[in-house]
Amino acid sequence: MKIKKIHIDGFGKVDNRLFTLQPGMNVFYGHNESGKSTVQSFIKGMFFGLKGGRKSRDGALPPMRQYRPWIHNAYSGKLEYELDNGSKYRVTRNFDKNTITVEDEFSNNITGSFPAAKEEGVKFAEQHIGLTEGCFERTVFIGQMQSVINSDGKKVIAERLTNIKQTGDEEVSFQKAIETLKDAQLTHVGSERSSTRPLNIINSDLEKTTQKKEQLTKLHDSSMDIFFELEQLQKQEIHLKDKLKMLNALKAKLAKGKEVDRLTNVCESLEKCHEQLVEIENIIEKKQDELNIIQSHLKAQQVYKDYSRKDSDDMVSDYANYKLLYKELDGVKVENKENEDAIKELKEELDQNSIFSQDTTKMDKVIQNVLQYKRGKNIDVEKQPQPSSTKRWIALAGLLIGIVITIMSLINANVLFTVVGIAICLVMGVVFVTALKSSGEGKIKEKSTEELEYEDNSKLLDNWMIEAKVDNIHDFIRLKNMVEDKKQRLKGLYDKKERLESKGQVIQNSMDISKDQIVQKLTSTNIIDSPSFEEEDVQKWKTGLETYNHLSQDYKDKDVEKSTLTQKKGSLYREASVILGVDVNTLKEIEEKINEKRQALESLENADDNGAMAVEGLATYEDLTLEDVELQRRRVDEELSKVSLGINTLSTRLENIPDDEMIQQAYEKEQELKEDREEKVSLGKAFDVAIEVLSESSVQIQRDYSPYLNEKMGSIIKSISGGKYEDVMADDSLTLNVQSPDNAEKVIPEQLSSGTADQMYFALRLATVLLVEKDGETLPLFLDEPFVQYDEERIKNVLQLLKTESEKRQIIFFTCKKREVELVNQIFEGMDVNITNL
Amino acid sequence: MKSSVSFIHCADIHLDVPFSTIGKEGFSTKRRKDLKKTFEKIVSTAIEHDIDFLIISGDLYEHEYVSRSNINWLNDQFKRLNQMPVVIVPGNHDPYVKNSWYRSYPWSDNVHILTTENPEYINEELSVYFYGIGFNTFYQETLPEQKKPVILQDRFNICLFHGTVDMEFTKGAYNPVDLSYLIDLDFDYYALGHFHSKKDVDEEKGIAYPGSPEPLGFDEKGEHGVFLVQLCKGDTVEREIKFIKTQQRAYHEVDVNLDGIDSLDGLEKKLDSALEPYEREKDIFKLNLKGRISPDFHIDLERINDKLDETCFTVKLNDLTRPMYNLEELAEERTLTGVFVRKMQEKIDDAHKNDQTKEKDIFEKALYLGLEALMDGTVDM
Repeated sequence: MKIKKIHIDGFGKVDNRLFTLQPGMNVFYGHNESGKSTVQSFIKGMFFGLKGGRKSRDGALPPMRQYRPWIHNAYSGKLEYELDNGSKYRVTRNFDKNTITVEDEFSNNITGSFPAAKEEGVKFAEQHIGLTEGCFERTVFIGQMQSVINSDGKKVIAERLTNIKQTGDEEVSFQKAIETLKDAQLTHVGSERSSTRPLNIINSDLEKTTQKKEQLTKLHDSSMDIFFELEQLQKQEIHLKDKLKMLNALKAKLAKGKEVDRLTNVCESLEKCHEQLVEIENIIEKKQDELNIIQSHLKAQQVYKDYSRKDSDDMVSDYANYKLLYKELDGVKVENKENEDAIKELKEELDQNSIFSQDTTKMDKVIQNVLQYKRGKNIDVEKQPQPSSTKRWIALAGLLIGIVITIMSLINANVLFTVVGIAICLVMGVVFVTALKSSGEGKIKEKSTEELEYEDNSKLLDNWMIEAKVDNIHDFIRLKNMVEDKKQRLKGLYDKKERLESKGQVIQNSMDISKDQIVQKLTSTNIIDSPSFEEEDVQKWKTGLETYNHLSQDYKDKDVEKSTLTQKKGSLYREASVILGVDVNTLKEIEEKINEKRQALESLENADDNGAMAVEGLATYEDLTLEDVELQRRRVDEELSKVSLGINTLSTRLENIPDDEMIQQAYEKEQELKEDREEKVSLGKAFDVAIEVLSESSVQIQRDYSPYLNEKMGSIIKSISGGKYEDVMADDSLTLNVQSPDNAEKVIPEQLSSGTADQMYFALRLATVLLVEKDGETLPLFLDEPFVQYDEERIKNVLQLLKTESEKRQIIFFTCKKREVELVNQIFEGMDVNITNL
Repeated sequence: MKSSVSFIHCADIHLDVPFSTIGKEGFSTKRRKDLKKTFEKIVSTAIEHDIDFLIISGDLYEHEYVSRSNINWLNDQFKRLNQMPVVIVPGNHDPYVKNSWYRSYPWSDNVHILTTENPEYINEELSVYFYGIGFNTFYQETLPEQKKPVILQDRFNICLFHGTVDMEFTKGAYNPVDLSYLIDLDFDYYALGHFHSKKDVDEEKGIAYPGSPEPLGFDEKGEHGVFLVQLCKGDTVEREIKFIKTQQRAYHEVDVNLDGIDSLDGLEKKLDSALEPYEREKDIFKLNLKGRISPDFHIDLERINDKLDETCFTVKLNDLTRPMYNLEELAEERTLTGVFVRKMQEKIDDAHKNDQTKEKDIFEKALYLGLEALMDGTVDM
């Protein structure tokens, strides 16, 4: 495409100007504010129209308002251009009226042959240029570089280079777009790792709300369960109350019957007691009379009161003993008389031989001495061994040994043997002397005693024989023996006498004891008044005692009978008291109570019991006893209490469960949060998809466009850098770097000099143009002061490149620098250059 | 036998149901009050028309949400009918489960609940045989097994059925049944419940859904009410079925095209004119905002909602507008933007072709998010 004519009726500051352009290089020269940018905007506006509406977000006026003519000319113009295929077109546009006419080279209005949209109008440019407005603007318009204006300049250029490489658009940054999306996703949705982002908050709220709803649902369910249970219990309560009412009625009925029975029993028992008591009291009275009679009889026999049955036995035995002793004493007395007589006779015989009345001991010694002397007058005394002569010899020998020891010891000067020898000498000396002395005395004493004693005893014996009138000693001895015998016999008689007397005394004593006891009993019972008694007295006493004992026993028996009856009476009164529950002690009291109970019974029997009979279902329980009924009643009562308690508990629980719309509200809140969550999740997914597709698109751009861009850029760079640099490429991290032929190292654009960076940028822009127009129209290149910061050499290099480019592409170069115009003329020498002064 | 009987057939009141919270605060509470007003209206209509009995074909209340006080209130309403029989079959929202109020509550004597255990009620005085097929559980894929109905021609035979009749989606549905099955039962009238829109299933046989007496959501548009039915039986059965509107409010969903709107004033005027034909102070609206608007003009939904709330009962705004990007042009670019737009449009088209509405929405959203990020360097929500 080549623009042939630009006719501006009115556009911004430009008023009614016609610019004719040639196919190659066209220069618009003018100082600042001379309208260079206005002309560029006009061209864009002619192709794509002007955007209207309100101010943009940065406060800039929309182009429609921005380029309204300063002078009151028509806000319109014309543009003529030719496509690569030679077809020519004229576009007439009125910006005010938003009208457009497209004519072909034959002035045919072909406006209607293009698609049109309400907002954008007729879309002829898109078809002829093959680019959208944005793309057209971004691609073929190359502005001035700011690389040396500030320190960020190179960085900006580097970014733009990167953008072009990555997105095909220097204004669009892939990295920034991805970051923007990720930031927005985190801010408006959140992620799994975040905790305070909208989705996190929604999830947290949702969890709480769901929990709350579940709790409320449980409560709601439990309220229904409780209500159900409560209803059951209330029905049960009614049933139990009915049953209890019936059992109470039944109990009352049965209790009345039981009371009647009880009262009847009481009355009957009391009456029986009363009857027995009357009989017993009569018997007791009779017994008392009998006791009184016995008592009077006992009084008469009172003297025997201290005697027992043993006394009676003692009396019998005493009396028998007494009689036995009496007979025995008589026998002793007879025997004693006979002994007395024998003593007397013997005594007389002994008196005739009185010589022997003295002690015969001496007489016997004299006789014995005499007879012994006469028989022993020839006895040899010398023949008898002498013990004292042996002793003497032994003592003498010892003495000699002692002397020898002493002498020997003195010789040997042994003190111990000396002492022993002297001691032996002393002892044996003494023994020898003693032996000598005893043998001399014994011989003299024996001879004088025997002779003297015999002489005296012979004389005495002779005197006694004369007195006894006997001649010899033997007769004397015979007489003496005879008298001795009689004396012995007499002594025996005396002994007997003594014994008999003693015996008689013992018997007498025993008799006295028995008698005293008998007499004492008899006297005490007034049977005798003196110590003498007869057998019949004894018998009388015995009979009296027996009578007393008999009466006494009779009294005791009767008294026991009476006591038994009295006890029975007491137990009957106690029985009556037990029956009545109060103490009664007299017949009269019992009679009063009987009357009382009879009256109560009568009134109970007459009482009305219709109430009990009216209860329904009573007949079913007719066979139950009062105890059974009471048991059942208690059970029902207990059950009723439990049921009532259950009702109260459940009612309280039910009242405490909220009966409002909280559960619906919780559900609604939950649904709302779920919707919010769904929305956020969808939004999150949308972000994910956007990021993913954008990344995929970037890869595609790299794959489809980058090699072409690199190739074109490489040749452009090589050309404008005079072969210093030959390649620009993007690595895997999408970072641009420049390849120098001298240096194998890669250099990133930021490290290049400002001018070189600009060249790179220029090359890339040009390469982009080549890319976008690939297989399409060769588009004009609009250069808007691109070399402001270039040195002359580099300008020449670029112009050289443009010169080559202008052979096939229309170049419209806007500049305010005269030198640049001169350089254009210099470089494009030999070629037509259209220079327009603005 | 009485020659004719008249009755009201209603269903799906859903007392105490939760509503999706749209619009003003307290909306759902008001709507629940509306349900009670509607039911009061049904009872009043029954009294006014002096009908013979009232039929409720299930989903009278929400088992999971109904309050004790509203059960009491319901029973009070039944008492208002002064011994007029009320015949109910439990639905899937008020099934005859263990702790069902139908089971535990001491209902007024005139209330008769037809259950699986006891599906019949015979009113000798009116010579009407009622037979119910309802719900024991919250979900029944097949009809409950219960005593078969006993049809005698010398009385009116009415079947109360809660479930789906002759629906394509009978598999996994609620009490699904073929129409022929019902017809073979040979009732004089089939009082159906479950579907919330009025529907004559078989007019000739007297098989109909009255719908919900009060609509419960935007999917329940149109008129809502009950059937006033008169059955006459001689040699043949004659049915006169009259629809009586009972709803308190209606749901409306209105599309509003905002193409070319670039100011709040213009937007409000558009909305006002969209609401013009309706009773805005009474009904419930969903306004679908459509069209393409400048990427620079952002709709402040909250502000607009607040403004509308001043004059409307409830309005829900659904922003379906799209930024006015020239997607066709952008797609032509040999740039990242161009490739991105093309790729996204392919995805959108695929989703559209495959009826993947949700995915399509996500892709559209992703397209505009990507474009905003690429072209503005920011994303405004």
